[in-house]
Amino acid sequence: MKRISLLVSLIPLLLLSSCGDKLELEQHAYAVVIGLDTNDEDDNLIDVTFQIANPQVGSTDTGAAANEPPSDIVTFTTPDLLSAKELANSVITRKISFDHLNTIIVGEKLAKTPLFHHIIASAMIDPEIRLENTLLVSKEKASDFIDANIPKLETRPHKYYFYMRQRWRDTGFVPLSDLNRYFQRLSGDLYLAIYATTEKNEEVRKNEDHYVAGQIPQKSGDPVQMMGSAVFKNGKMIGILTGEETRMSLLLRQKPLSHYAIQSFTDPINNDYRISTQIMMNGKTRVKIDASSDIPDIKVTVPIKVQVFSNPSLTNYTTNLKHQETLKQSIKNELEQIAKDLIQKTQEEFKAEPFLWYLEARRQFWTNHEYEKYNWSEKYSNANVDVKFDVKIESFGAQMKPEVIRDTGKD
Amino acid sequence: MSIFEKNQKANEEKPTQSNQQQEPESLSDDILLNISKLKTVFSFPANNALKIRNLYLPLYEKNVTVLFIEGTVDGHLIDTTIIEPLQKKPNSPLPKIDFISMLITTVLVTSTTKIITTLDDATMDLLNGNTIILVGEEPCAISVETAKFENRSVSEPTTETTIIGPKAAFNESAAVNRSLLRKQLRNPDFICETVKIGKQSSQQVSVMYLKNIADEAIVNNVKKRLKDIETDTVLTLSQVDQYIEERSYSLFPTTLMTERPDRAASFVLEGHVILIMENSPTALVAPTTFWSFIQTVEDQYLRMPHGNFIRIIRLVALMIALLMPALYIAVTTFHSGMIPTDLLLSIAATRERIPFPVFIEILIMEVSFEILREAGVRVPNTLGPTIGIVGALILGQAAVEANLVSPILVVIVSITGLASFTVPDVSFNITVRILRFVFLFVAYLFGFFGMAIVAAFLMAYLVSMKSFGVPFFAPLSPHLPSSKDLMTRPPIKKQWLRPLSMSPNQKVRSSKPKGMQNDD
Amino acid sequence: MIKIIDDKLGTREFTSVVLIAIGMKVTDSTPSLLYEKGANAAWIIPFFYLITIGIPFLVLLSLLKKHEKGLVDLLFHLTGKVGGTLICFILSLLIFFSATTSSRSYIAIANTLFYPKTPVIILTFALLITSFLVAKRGLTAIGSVSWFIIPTLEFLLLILLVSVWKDAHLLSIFPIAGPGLSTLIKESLNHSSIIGEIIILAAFFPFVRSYKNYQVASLLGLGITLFKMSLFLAIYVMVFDYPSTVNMAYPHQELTRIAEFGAGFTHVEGGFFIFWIIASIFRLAIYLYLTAFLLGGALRMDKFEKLLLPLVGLVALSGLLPENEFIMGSYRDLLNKIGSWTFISLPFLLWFLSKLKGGKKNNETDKSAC
Repeated sequence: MKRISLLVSLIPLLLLSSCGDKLELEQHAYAVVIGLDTNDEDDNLIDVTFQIANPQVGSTDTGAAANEPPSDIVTFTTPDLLSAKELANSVITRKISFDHLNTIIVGEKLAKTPLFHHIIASAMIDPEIRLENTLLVSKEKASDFIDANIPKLETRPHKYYFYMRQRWRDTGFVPLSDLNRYFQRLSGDLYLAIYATTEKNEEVRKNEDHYVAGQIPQKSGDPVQMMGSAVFKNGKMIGILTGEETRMSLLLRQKPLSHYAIQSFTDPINNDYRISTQIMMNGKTRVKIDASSDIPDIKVTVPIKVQVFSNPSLTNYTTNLKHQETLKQSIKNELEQIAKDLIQKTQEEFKAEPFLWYLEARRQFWTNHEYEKYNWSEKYSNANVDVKFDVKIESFGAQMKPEVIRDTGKD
Repeated sequence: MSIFEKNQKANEEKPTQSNQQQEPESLSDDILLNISKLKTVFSFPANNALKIRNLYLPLYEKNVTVLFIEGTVDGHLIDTTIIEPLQKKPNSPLPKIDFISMLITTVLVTSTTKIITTLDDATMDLLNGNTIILVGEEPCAISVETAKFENRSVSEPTTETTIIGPKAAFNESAAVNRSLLRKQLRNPDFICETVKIGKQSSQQVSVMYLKNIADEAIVNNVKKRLKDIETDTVLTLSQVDQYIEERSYSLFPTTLMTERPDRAASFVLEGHVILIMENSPTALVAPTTFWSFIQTVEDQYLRMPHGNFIRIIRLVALMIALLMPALYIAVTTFHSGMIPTDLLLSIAATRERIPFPVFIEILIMEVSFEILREAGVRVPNTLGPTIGIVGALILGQAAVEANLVSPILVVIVSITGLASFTVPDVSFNITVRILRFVFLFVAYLFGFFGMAIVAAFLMAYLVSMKSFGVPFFAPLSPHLPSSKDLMTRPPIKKQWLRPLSMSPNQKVRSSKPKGMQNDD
Repeated sequence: MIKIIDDKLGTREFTSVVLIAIGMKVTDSTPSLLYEKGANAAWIIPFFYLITIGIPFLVLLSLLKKHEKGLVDLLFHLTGKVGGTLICFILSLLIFFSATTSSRSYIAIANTLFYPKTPVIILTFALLITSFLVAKRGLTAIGSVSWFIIPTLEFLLLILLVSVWKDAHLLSIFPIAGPGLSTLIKESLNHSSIIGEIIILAAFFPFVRSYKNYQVASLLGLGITLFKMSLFLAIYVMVFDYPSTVNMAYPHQELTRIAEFGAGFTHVEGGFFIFWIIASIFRLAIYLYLTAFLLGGALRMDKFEKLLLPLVGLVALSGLLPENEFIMGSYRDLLNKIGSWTFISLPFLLWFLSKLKGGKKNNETDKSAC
């Protein structure tokens, strides 16, 4: 009895001492996208843009508000991200929460300054910023990008990025770029981030992959194009890879994340046409590195399976084995050429590699000290790289032979 | 506090009273004196329950008085087995023995008769429905068993219903209940001992167990606690339960009530002790472990995969019933990152128009659900189910439309309520419902941290709690060899071992199956 | 008739006690201690523990078998009254500081990652009072509850492993020797106390049903702990890669934040957090009980459980003393060093004394054995 009354008397005490972290769900403002830009006036300040989801639009019928926009976009100029979070409450009535933060968008201009790394690294102190947040580089200012990104099919902003990320895995046009990978690849190797823009600078090219964002010819539809990747070295953006190059660099990694991709190749029989294929990994990419000398030897074998999807030239590849062999050889050559060009670009332009070959190189050493002394990224720029594609054509689609219009009459 | 002291005083006084009654008053050889004494005991004629029939037997030239109490006896039985034979001339010559023995051996045609010599015995037997025959000039009486109390017949179980399995339930007659058990266990080692409890109108409690299996220490423990009950009257087994349990303030029951003879029998086979009492349509099982509260007989009647499926469903339901509202409140007020963004936004959208914090919101719903539930039990039978279901639905719908609660909360509270119905035992069910509020409260204060703290304490409390010396979570923890009939159960052929947590005298049910040699 | 419920710990219960007391360390800030010097090769250190702690522990086991006594009685038996009191006192002090630092570290984790605005005092008292209530129910209860919860805990760790597997690069653990073998060996000697507490757990020997149970349980517990530690030290590196792992204060919590069960449940760290807090309550309960038991041994008190309440107050207060967790760092290093060498040398010292006494008392023990 005494014990019970003691317990009961403790309850008001508990109520008084209740937790300071308690906050009702609707009193939070959930920032789903953050944009980071350089400030035009002061180099040490940044412009932080929050895109805050409005729960009352597009989520449920019972609580819907008719005349509100799906999200609220506000920009603040502050020295870092966390002070922007506090400052935001001077404007926004609810407490800003990053719990549902999805994507961090960085303007290309900021990404190219050393300030970028300081901002991102210090933001990690806030436990609400998670390592799995996606990093995206926009060609224009991030605030402009967020403003312009009004997707047609998705009302709520988080859903747009969620669906986009699902697609990225499949196409391989853009890399999977989260903060965890960014922090892993700070010491000398290249980190690839998604490159996107809403500014159009259209060019029509024959090869559908050879674009970077903004160049893809498009009529109407969503304003954002995501293609290619921004290349970071030591926490600073130094260049851009096209969609094709991005995909190739993903293929050359030992642990590929994209499972299949649609890619077109020049028809070896009839050079005016291109053949669309689906390429898939046929096992893992094998990388062999000999780091014993100052000029390392790198041997890479990429096993792929090809499924021919469309064949506009209507050449018979299905039953003609000779044609098949030609096609195989030409696909192999074309892929190897792309790889070779890419590797040359990384060796000369970036002087580092985005292929995670450093993991394999590290294996050759006994201690960290020896590896650091060897200085892999410097040695890489002189390395002899030999890339081989092991191509297997798996199928030619549902038809035995393409329907060819027969020349019946003699005109 | 003062109430308790009074009770204690009352307890202290009682032994002195009973001591005075201890000297048994024997019957005298004057029949009229005996009758008048019995009349005083039963306050005759103010109390007209005592029926007295005077007979003169010309055959034997004796005065005989037959006494019984109305409502406890079978009148027809008295006519045919006592009055009629007494007055009829016997066919055979009478043996030359004393009159009382002669009556018992040759005249009376009933199965159970005995000779009593004290007034107390006479009173007791009269109360139990026996007929007393007083014979002139003899200092003793014959007591004939003629009891017939009004009783309902064996019917179907109402709280522990199953789809397959026997459909008989205990009823209010101890004799019927014992017979139902005997029907299940035809075993000479199946012991039925009686312990008298209650000082004034004493009742008999039958302690039943298998002599060759049940641990003697447990049986003695149960019997000792029964004998220690110090009160004048105990009406039903449920009250006996409260007298013999160890922790009166604890939320957790340490004994189990079952209305199914087959279930009681299966407990007996594992070495538990069963208590049966007059007027109680249940059997009390002691000791009890956690597992008996969440298992039903059907788990064993169904085939192994099917039984396990429903058992796992029930386990999941138990977790939901206990934790769901607390989880919701913890997640929404402390860990909003855990909810998928879409769901979060839709909850936030509906919450925006609700004036109360989520804790009050959930409390409104939970309390009204508990009220509905209680109302469902108390309301007349015909209205019951309608009130329960329709009330809950309409109330929920209306509350949402009035912006009192958000729609997702109605879902949470309904699934919680539904899940709590799957807990088979009544008292454990209430335990779960109370604990739900405890979890709700700490989740509101500290989120997951608070829930973890309560859960940790609860676990430590439960594993160290004992029911009649058997740990509550045995044989899982502390681990003891058993057939692993716990969260799930093995096929029936592999349940060859009795749970050793009951310290059974015979450890195995059958020899070890051949396939199991390796995995011991 | 044999009474089966004897209020002692069986093999499973004691294994669980070992797993919770020591095996849980891989989930708190201990890894960052090892990464500091061990870098990406920290996962090798547990293998060195097999030797640095394994051998002393085997020596201790042989002593326990010979004398059939718990650590406290053994100390008094072999080193005499003064020596026993002194060593018991030192050991209880070491465990006490270990309890203090871990409670402080747990609170820091809960505070930084989940409850940034809640006062540390409230969290500390809530955690420690619950530990006290658990410890007060006795070692049998702690053992039972450990066995009750340990399958769930280990299963959750397995789930965690599976859910982060796609982010793990096996090659990240290279170069295999990390900072060089000599550094690793030095580190493993200086940080032996992390695992070395298994030697103090021998104080619980009288609570275990038989020597056989104790032997199997402690070796099994030690083995699983070392394996788990090595595995998770490697996994942290595989997921976060070498330089960033070193900067993480709580790699386990970061790992739970990375884990996701499909697209719908991406933030599941709260679920892991619940069980982690439960486990840490039980762990602190074990430590409190152990401290009280050793202190009771030093003071020759029979009712040592009465020491629990003052001890829990002391742990709470000394845990709250430093402003933040990292101030304790240097003391912690020093304590680790002292602890490590104590744990490594103690069994050898006892063994030596036992040999000395054994010569004298051999006949006596032989007689009593007959």
